[in-house]
Amino acid sequence: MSSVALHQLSHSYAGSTYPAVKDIDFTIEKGELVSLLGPSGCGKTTTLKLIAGLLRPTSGEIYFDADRVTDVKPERREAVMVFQNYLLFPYMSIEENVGFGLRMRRLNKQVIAQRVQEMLAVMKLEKLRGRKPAQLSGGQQQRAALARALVLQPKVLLLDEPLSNLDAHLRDEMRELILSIQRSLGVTTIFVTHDQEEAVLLADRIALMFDGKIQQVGESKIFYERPASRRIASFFGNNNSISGFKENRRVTCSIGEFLVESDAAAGPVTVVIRPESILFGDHGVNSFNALVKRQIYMGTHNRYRIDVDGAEWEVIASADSGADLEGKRVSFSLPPEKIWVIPERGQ
Amino acid sequence: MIGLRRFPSWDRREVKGCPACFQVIHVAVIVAIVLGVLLPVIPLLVWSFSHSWFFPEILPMELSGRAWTYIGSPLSKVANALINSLIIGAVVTASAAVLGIPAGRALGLNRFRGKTLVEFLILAPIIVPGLAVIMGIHVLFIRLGLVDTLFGVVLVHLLPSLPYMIMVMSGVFANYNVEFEQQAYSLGAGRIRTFVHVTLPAILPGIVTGSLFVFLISWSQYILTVLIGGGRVITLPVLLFAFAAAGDNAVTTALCIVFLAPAILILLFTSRYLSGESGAMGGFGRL
Amino acid sequence: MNTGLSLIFMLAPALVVILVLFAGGLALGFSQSLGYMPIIGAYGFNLDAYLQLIKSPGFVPSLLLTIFISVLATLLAVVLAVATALTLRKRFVGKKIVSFLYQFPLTVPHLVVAVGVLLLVSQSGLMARAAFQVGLISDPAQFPILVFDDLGIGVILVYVWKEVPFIGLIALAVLQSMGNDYEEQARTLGANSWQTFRHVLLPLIIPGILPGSIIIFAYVFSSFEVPFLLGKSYPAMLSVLSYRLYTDVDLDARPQAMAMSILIAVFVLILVLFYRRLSQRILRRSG
Repeated sequence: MSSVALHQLSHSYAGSTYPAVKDIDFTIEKGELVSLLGPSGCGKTTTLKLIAGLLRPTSGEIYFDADRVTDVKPERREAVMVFQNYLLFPYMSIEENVGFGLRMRRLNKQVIAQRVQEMLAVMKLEKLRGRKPAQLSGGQQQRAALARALVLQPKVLLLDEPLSNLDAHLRDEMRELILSIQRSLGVTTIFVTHDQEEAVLLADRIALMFDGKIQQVGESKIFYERPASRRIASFFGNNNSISGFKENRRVTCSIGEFLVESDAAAGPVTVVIRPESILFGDHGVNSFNALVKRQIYMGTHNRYRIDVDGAEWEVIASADSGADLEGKRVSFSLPPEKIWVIPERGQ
Repeated sequence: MIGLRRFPSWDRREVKGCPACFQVIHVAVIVAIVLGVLLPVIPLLVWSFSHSWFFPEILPMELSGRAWTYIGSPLSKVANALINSLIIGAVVTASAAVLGIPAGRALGLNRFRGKTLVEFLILAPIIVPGLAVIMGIHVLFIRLGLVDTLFGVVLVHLLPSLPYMIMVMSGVFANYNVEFEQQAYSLGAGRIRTFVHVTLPAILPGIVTGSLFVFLISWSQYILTVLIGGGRVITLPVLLFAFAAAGDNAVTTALCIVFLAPAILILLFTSRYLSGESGAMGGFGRL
Repeated sequence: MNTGLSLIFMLAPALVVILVLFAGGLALGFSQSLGYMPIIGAYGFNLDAYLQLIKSPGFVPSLLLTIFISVLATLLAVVLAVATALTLRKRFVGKKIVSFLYQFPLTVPHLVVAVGVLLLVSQSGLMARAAFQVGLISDPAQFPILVFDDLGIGVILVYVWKEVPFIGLIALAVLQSMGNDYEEQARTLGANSWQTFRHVLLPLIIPGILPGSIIIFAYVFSSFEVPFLLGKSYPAMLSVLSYRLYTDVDLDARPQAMAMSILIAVFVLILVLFYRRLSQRILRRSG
């Protein structure tokens, strides 16, 4: 188990002028479970391969604890990567696959057999030991791939989209398995995903990446409550945002003037509010009228699509009221303490 | 849930490695490829222009265009042989494509009972030595009056070449998604349009690769042509063999170059299909 | 995908050509080897031709030489093909030109290669001249005998030169289709470059190049032109013996020629089966 520190890490693929990963500064604590989250092509898998040593950074350094490992070859790095499609060697049995890394280290045969045996037991793969990968289900292959990595007792475990190839019900099971193994072994784990829900469910901390850069780091809560940009809010499913200009504690925008409690500096800003924070009716402060374009009954609550100066906002409210508001103009209020204000940085 | 015992950390025995070695080997292999390919070609070029060139001279003592003049003259029958070779090669290639593309499609896209047997039959002509077969065919063709004819030669050339076309095409079709065709039909394209606009572009690399193999097999075929053509159907390899056995180096090498030229031309057009991303060569691994 | 009937329509034309020519030829050849030759008034069915062949003094040396040449040529071609394919899949400066050169031997007819190799490595060839110029030898006779030699070195050189790109391009296609992922997976699990090659790449490539290597083995075993031009007349490869018997003025030698060809076919089939067995066993052990 060791911490992983990335310093000014950049990587450009040969023949490409645009860097896939740029100036990444990020430290993962010992034993932490961190998610690299972002849309496809954002550089998250590249970052993972840089940590694994499968790619060499164009510039920057990587440290495991105090050791600089930037030039250490992948096979010596003690960071083991599990690929998205498992990549079990097709001509080897599951047992041989799990023992692969130990054999490459030329360990004593008995030691190998013993460790493989223990790992197969932990992963409940004992009955499948003699099978070839093609004879296993997706979930079993995933477990075998994890076993093959964990049997090496790596300092750092790197998982590339560990759940994306699994059915929904298997996904829950595998998530719990990864979590319990990670907790009991305490292995520093970095996993890559494009699915914010997966990151939220599994990670201690999330590092959100766009365009080869880390945009925001933190526990999952802050991405919902304090997104660092309109794009991040939108990535986490919140499109209720509008541009405005802040002066003192007031933001002026195209639908009116709103009182806020933010300490953000004066100037152009984006205002973001969560769908469940918007209130129906005029509550005396920050109220505005909007057309309800659509009302969707969701069982426990209603979801409304409202037109806010051409943009579509979402409002979630209790289903109790029951009235059909579709096509009507209704007044709404934004509680000042629930408004999140993001300063626009010279765009 | 985990009862995993801690191991003493990272007890790997040192494994020797040598990063610089791989770099050196890499460069050495590239140099070896270039040298290895060019070495046997160099004497061909030089000899064809030499008049007298005795050991131990590294370059010819006297240059001359004699061999080339001779090859160009009607006396040598080279023009005649060239035309024969081209006609036979073209007809064999076209026939192999017409026969081989449907067969390759049937094998690449389908599983059916007896498929292994069919594959074995198709491969058999290139696994089972041709000599045994050709001597039998010779007798058959004598009876059918096909010996000494261009048609007979075309037929026997199909024997070693058709399997290659089928193999390449079955490899291509194994990676081919028929649903594109079904999509085209459902969008209102007829059979012919679908073939031209959907199927053909997808399998073209395979057709090019397969045709290249077929043409080259026919183009360089000696023994089948000699036995079935009976010395009447003169192709370039037949002429070349005669000159090579007679030992006139200048004329032999000049003829070699004539023999090489069309092949190089074809390769210029097809090179990208051979090593490119298209799976055309992959067909050989699948059967 | 297709109904049985359309399958038959797609496969039948190719299969008919192959069956009539191949199976028909083989059957006629076989019946002649048993002494059934109505043309010369022989209606016997016996094994005389086979017995005479096996008893003839040249047979065993020829058989051994043929096996030696075809096994060695195939092995060398496979090893060089894998080595070159591993290099060629990487990016490097001038890759396009090197790739083109690499494919070039595919298009060169065997006869031309034979002439080129003869002029390159014979005792008065280009290499001997170069050796003389730098003072390595003082007389052509001091240069090692590489053509018309006991071991068929020249013949092997020709086949290796020709067949390396054939296997190599298949290996390249296999390598490209599997991408880098398996290697990267092996590296991150702790395998060094050599171990990755030995335990991961090689087992993944071998099944792909197995059919191709069988094809070239069978080809070398039975082909005639190259050993005829570059081989010793005694012992000669089996195919050369067979051709000599077939073109003998004495028609009584024909059954022997046929018998020889049938024997070649039988040997090839036996060796191919053995080879498959062997490489599968190696494959199983290499995990």
